Amino acid sequence: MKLTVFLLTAAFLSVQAVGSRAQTITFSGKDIPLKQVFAAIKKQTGYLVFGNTDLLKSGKAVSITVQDIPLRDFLGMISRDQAFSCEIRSKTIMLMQKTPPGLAENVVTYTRADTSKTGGTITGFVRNEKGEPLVGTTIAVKESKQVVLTNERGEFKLNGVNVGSVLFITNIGFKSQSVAIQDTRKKMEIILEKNISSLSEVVVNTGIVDRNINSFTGAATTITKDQLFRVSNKNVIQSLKVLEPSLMIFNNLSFGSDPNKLPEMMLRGNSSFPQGTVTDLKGDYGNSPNQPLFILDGFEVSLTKVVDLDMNRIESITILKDASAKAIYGSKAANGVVVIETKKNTGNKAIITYNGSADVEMPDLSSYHLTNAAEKLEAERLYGLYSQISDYPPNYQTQLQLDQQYNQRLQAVLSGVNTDWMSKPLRNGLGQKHGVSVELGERDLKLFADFSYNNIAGVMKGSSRNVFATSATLSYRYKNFLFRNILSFTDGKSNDSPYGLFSEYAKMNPYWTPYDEFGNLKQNAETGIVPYAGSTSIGQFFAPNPLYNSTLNTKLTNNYTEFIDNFYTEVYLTTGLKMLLRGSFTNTKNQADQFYPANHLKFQNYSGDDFFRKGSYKRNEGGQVRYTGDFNINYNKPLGDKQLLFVNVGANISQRSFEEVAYSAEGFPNDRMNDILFAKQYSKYMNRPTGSEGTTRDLGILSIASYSYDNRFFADASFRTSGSSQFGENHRWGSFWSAGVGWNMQNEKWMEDLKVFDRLKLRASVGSTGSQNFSSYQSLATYTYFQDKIYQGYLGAYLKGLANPDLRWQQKMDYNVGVDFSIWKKLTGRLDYYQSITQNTLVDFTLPPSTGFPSVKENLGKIRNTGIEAMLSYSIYSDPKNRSYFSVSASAIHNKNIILSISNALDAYNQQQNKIANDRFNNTPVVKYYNGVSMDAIWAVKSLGIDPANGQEIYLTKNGVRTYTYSASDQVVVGDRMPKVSGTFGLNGEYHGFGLNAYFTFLCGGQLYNQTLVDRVENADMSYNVDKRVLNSTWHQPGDVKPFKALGSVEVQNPDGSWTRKFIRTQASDRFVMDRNELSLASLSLSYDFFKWAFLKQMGLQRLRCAFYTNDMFTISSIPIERGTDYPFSRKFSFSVSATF
Amino acid sequence: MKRILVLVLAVCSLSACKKWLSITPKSEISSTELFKSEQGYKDALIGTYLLMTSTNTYGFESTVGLMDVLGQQYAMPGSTHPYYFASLYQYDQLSVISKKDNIWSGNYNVIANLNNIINTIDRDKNSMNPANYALIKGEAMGLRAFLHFDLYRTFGYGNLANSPAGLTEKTLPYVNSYSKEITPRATGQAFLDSVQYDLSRAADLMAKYDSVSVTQNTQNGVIIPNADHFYDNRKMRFNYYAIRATQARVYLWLGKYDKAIQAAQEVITKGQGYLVSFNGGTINNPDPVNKDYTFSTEHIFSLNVQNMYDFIKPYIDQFGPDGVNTNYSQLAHSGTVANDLYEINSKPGMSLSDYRYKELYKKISSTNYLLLKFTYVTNSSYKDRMPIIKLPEMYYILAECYNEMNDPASAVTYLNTVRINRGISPLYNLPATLGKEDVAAEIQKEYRKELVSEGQLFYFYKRRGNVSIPGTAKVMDNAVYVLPVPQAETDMSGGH
Repeated sequence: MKLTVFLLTAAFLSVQAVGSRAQTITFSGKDIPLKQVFAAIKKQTGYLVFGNTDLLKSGKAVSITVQDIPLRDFLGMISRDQAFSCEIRSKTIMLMQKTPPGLAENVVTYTRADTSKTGGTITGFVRNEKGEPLVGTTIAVKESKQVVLTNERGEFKLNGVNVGSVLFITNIGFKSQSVAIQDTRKKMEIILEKNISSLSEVVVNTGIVDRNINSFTGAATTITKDQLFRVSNKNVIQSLKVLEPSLMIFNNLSFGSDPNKLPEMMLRGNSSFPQGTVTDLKGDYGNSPNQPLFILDGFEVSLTKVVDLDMNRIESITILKDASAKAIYGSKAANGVVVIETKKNTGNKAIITYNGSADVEMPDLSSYHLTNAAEKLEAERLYGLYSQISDYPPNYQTQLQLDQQYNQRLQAVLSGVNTDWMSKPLRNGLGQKHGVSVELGERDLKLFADFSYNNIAGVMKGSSRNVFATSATLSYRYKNFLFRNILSFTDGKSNDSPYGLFSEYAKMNPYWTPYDEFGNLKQNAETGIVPYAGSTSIGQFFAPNPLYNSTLNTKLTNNYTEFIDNFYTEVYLTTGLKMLLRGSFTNTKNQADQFYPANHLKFQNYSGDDFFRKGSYKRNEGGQVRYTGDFNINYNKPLGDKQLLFVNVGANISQRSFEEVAYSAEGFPNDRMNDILFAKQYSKYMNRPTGSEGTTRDLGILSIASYSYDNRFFADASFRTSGSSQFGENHRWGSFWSAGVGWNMQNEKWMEDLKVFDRLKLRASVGSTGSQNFSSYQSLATYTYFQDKIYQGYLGAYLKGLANPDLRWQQKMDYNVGVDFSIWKKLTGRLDYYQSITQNTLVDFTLPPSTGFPSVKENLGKIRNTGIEAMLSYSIYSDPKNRSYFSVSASAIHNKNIILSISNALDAYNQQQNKIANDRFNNTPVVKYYNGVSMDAIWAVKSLGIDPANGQEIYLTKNGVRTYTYSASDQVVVGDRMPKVSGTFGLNGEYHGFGLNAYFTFLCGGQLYNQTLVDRVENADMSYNVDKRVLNSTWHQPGDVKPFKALGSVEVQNPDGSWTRKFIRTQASDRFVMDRNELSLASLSLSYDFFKWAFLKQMGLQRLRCAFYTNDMFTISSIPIERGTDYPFSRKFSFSVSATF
Repeated sequence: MKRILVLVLAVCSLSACKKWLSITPKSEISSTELFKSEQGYKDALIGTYLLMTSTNTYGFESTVGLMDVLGQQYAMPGSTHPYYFASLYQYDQLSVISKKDNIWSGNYNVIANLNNIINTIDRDKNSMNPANYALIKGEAMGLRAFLHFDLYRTFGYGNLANSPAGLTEKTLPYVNSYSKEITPRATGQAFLDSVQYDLSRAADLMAKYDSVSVTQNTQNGVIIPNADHFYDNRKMRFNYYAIRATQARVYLWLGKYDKAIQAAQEVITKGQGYLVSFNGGTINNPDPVNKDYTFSTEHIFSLNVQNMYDFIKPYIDQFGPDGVNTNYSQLAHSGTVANDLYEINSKPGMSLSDYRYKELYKKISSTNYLLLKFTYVTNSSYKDRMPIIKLPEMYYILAECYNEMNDPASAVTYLNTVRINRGISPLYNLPATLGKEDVAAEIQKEYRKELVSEGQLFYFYKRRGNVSIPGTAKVMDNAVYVLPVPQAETDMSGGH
């Protein structure tokens, strides 16, 4: 029964919640006649005003400045000193002579406080859900018309009240409450719930302290849980990708939709040079240099944790982008901060929620255009796979064999063999998600517990990710203390597909079959021959059947368990003074296993002594422990009527240590013996354990101050000093700061008169932050022992590199100006212009070898990112009563990256890259760094196309000379991988419970090197499948004007005029650099909320909602490139149910 | 609030905080940690020897490979040979650039390691056994000078006696600190002064302790802690006589003959008592396991290069990797050139008994004489030794000095000593009446015979300033003798 009551209240409140958006008033003025005031109300709300006009005329003129306050409150304010009172009755405001009786229950009437009456005295306090005191809350006694405000500790005192009197408690941004006095001797405790619609408007959660939006100068975006769920129910990152364009998470063309690959991301552009990273380690303990800092409930967490986080636990996500917002994180904040706040307990009632979904992933192969069996065979014939290309007279024996091979294949083609190899390793992945959460609450003791299971099934057979997670949040309030403990445990297990790389299948020739005529799986799809170019001999050719491997007992798993405990204490010391103490402990363990049995095709070539080495097992084991603690004191002090001061000081300390060990063994004769214990020996080439290890410690002191005047002008500043063990001993401590100013223009009188802007906030900020995403011991001089050599029987140690005691964090200066606006409550938006200059960028500084070492880590580079971010949303229709609204939104970011200076630090690196580019067998563009050039620049030689005369590519040297000779030194910047503009647009709406959301993402103005054209057309390995364009777009004979060079060999004229036949491999030229403009339907979702249905109540349900999502439905791209080469992309469908009991 | 803040600051500000933020890695050992014990110094010192054994430097290129190719020690079969361009002194060819640059960076890398020992050890002087302190620091300083001097002999100027301009030329940096600071290139004079200074400092440190036998010193009342046998085989470490021998090399390079004589004399007199002795004929042992091809009793300083043969084999084998086809990477002598050098036709009896002609060639055809110096049979007693300084060279230095001081007669006696110890019958002793030019020619022959694959011949020609040398028609001048400093060095040091 209790539950039913709550349901009614909830439904009622939510109607109010949505409704209040339209029922708020923004008004300011001095001595405005009442008539004018009501005209404004009518205009802003559309409500009619009824009443005796004499009441208006006789009323006093009003001087008031309010912004976005509920209509009811506003009416209360203006009628406070009047002889009339106001009442709202279904979109109508009635003016009445002040006569107390006969008012409806839910109407609050405000009159001047009348303390003359005698009665009891009652005290109490008002808090928000978090238990924080609500200063300035209005307490009105219905009977006596007495009104008081709560003091700075949220306390109030009323005289002359009796048991049974009803109090009306109102505060801006909170749902109003009416409470009957039951016992005047007892102190009353009133908790106001936040008014949902204004939740995101009031407070910005920075992870350390909450900041008032009205006086916050930072650029931050807050995304609520509802918004996240509008896009996807998959994971947080998937949703953020669409909702926050400044967080650049681009699709990985190689990994596609592999559920076990962590996305790479950066906020507002690239600001670190790639460091020599350790590869082949499975754990997530290394650092990706551009990755933002993730803060979950106040403490740093790994990206894995964020990806695996149950979305239902999330309350809100705040992305801190500029210095004002993020400088409090000091030396770790340069890449931006993503603050995730989980749900804390809310009401006092027991609530059980179930969320479940069934997910389907379907492979998306629309970007592949491979030849079919007949086309492939024809391409091979044209290429010369069945003829001898040599200067020698043809060998007839050879020719016979080649002809036989051709005829065999032709027979297969003619008999209808056209194997769809790509479909073999793929499936429609069926996954599921379940989550149950329980909220229990008494006045002082509250519990929120949840359990979730997430099973993601990727589109490659056997590829999956399973995550079990559970968490419990317990909070207890005692007097001025609040204790909260969040304990969470995650168990993740991922399996990679035993089918191997998708590219292994895509390259198979369609005239091959995986099964022999008896239906058995073949080891080799074909054992054939291939002619050697330039000679009359032939070679054996094996095409291993990748499907064969899938039948073996391969094991590719990665497990981790993570335990996090966060403890939080909050104490109200005196008025406005609050102390926060937090501690966190994280323990992560992981184990990865890679087992390939002896009969796996990768061991096919092992013979002789190596026979017993067949079969391999690699195991990685690792763990990480992190302790963090911080302590903050903040002080809120109103100075007079207009000024507000906020100060926070704090300190933090943290230690993180990780260790990972990997060892390899070999010799597993049978694929059933899939445990490392069955190994014959350690691996021949990795015969000892390897791994990595690191410990870092940080200390920091933080202070924040913020000041606002008259809610119009405000400024804030922060300063942080951080010390870290990662920095060189000469620079252990770094200082980071920020300063910002802002102006709420909408609160200016002249602006209010315009009646256009509900919000027009201008803000500007500047500040410095740092990043230290580098390995733990880079500043130290360290020795390592020779492991494979001894001298006279003694061990020896040698220096690993040069110490750099001056090593310090990368420092990023951020400049940001922005405006937030809202026009007629319809159009809201924000615009930010930023510039960030990263100094002391860590580079491998090339040293003269006489120092003994080729390079040292130095802080040298300087990188600038400039950009514009814009977000707009327009509310087309809104009818909160029926839960109906419709709005459209769009957001975009433009970012430009440039290297300002790296002096000659990376010369050696660039030379190395040139060497690679000159390599005849390299056909991917190399990455080079030069002053004044973007870090995302694509370097290639300019090409004039294919010479119609001889099929050779004509290059243009740096000096504009035509040549057939490729030289890496002629490489110039021919494009930029970073899109000029990327963003999203979409629409969302709800109508009587039906919801529709659609989001498109787009990017344009960037370029990409079309590797597909190189790998599958020009440099195609003709023994395997190729792109269709091989057939009709390649040069065949003199006179052909074609975009692609000849298949196979070409006649090349020598300087002496003679001709030679040559195979020419394609090297990086701008012929393959194409504009990349893309449009994707990132998300389309439909939902239905059963709130109007009576059966819910009978079933004891408070809420029932169903939703259907599709993600990544299609991508239209201007560049015809294969997407998802190692793992295909997928289209995702999901049906979800959410029920609250 | 203030009080708490003060507390936090107090906890943090001081040394406790600094200490807390200093972390020592587990998988590696920080320099400070390693040098907390004498063992750490020993390990670091041994590490430098191990670094020297790299095939990029003394393990191959500075001895068998590049340096002796530059000295035209080998017959060059054709353009497919990996050292073809090196034999033509085409220093702009990639294959040559990488080899010479590797010698540069390899040696400086060892120097950096030595510098870290030298710069740190004085701090712990008081807590160390004085013998350990003196020997470790002495060896380190000696090696630092030795490595720098070899770099100078390669990248610096020769023939200083006749063209002293080489001394004023800015050449190489003499690096004596482990730091990322770039050491400017010094003039030849300053550089060689530093070499001499380091050598004499090293000699001072070690003279008392290292003369050379450990037992010897115990008798002298100097106690060397050798329970761990750390000082057992002094030949394979940069011992006191190695310092003196290097000094002899340096003085000769500078044309300071009297000082060179003094140093070389000490090695052949005192050194022969304690450290080295002429080969006693083990080379004649018919069992290849006991053949001492490198004359290891004569090593004043050699390196213990583990599995040395594995790397050298492809260059001295008759056949290519498949064991059947011709070895196109061979570093061998031409039979004609060898016969000419050993005067087989003119003086038939002389060289037929010379170990170097008799035992160190595998004469597979009249034109192809394979070199056996580094050959290896399983269980060989003398494996893995790379001679760096040998006793005969001291005799050559003495001979050259006396000859240059116009005393060819004395010079001849030193040459004859070596010749007799190589199995040449005294009947073929060089006559004391030989003129200065003839003696010089004989010394050159000895270098060519004795120091095959030891990397010294090119330095000999360079020191003498020979305009023409056997094996090439190339006019030998500084363009050939002075190897170009690596591009990376000139680019990065900003023209210092």
